Amino acid sequence: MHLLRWYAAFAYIRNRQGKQTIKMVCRICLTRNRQGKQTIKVVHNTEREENMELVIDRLTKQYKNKIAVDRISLRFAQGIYGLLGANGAGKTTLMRMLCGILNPTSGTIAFDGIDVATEEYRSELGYLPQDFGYYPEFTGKDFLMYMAALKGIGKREAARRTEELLEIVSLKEAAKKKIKTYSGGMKQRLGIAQAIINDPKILILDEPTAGLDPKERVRFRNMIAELGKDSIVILSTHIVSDVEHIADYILMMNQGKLTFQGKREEITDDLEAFYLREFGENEDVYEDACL
Amino acid sequence: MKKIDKKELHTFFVAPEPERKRAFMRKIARVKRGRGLSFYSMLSLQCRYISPKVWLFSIAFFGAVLIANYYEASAIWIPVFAMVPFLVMLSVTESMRSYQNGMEELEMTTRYSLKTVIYLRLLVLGSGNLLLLLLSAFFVSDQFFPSLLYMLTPYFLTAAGNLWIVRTFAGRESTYICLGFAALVVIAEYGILTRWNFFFEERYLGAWVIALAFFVALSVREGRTVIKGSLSLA
Repeated sequence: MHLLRWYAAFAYIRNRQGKQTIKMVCRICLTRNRQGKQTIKVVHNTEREENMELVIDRLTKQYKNKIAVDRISLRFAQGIYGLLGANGAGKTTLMRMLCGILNPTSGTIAFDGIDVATEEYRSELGYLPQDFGYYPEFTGKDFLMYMAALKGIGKREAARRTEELLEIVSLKEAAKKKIKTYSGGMKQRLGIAQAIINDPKILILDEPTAGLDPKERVRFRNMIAELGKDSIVILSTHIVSDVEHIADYILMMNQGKLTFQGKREEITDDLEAFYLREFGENEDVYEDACL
Repeated sequence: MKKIDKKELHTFFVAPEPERKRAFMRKIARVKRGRGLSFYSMLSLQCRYISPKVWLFSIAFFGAVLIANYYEASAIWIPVFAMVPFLVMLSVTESMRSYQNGMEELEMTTRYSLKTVIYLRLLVLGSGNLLLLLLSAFFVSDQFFPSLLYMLTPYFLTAAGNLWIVRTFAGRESTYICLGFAALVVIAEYGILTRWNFFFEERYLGAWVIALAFFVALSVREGRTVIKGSLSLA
């Protein structure tokens, strides 16, 4: 490919500090390929997305006589992270601290240098908790519009995103029905929709497939796989098959500690067998805790 | 130079495949969203989502004040004064309904978090109630200041108690406990109105002012604790 000439497209934008700047948005490249054919290639300037990083440094959460999360340090970049662990391993506690709704006993969490307890961090966040409620008078559409407003999305864009997401999660027919009439699976799909309504850079999903039927699970996996291309997706579950096919990285927790972290491709074995083996090797931790 | 047919132009270049289109579109959406919602937009949003029953009760209260004023019957004033603690109870439980309906986790993680939501609800409902009581004081009797004092004191007593209850007891149970507390305040009011009505004499005005100042301070303290507590679960 031979570059003939290129043009830059600029945009006049406001940066994080509120200062107006001019930024190069993309380059339009006129190239000639090997066959001599001229082509136009648009290269978007998205270094920011490429460099996004969520850093956890020695994060600990201690209750009276139990350490729920024990000095975990991690760096998350773009991609899908599957967080596996048994009930009581500390997954939900870790997720809540990543969302800023639980204060750590010690340690720090920052996304591109932005601390977790700031509005800026929250504006990049999407969260689906393990259990969530709803205002009884809300319909599915009302709920998404309300959450969109709280996430700072204007009315027009919120309406557009709501319609789009209701279609994606197959709730368009039930949009005007009250949430109290929804089944468990429908509520879960609504929860997923609200988590992604602001197109977050950090998406934290705690047991997201609970209550979903197999067809919905497959659709959910495809949706997450797509989101993981441009965002940090942290998916906590104790169902191995949820992460087996889509996670780029696997994290395993046990008794508040991180027992394994690595790329999915490093695990050549069946993930479930690997998980059970990892869990079995750490039974000593249980025995020590009980004594 | 050969004249190029406009229709042939599209054959000259292959339409480029979009690269990182989603990230690019996201960037534009983020720039638009960067300004966020104004304070008044958020305020009107919260007003829209406040339950109709709260507004209806406020209208009913004011209606009762007007009726009592029209008939000038002292017996009617007792139930009117009894409505004041329930007015504030409805407002406090409405402000805290995120907790009662299990929405607190979701709202804590949004850009305009639970702290903002509760603050705005308390602001809207508190200001509305105070305005309502101010207006009502004109109709209660010829003496505006004492009338206002006799309504504001149980108002802030109930507010302080209810705010303490909602931050101590989680879930829907807190609504019933707040209702119980409001009922206790009504019983105390009734007792004072019927048996110890000498407390409404002019010589006791100073005591009412001190009591009001105390309950206002307590309400403000409880309100601040509630708002601060809404930043995180623990």
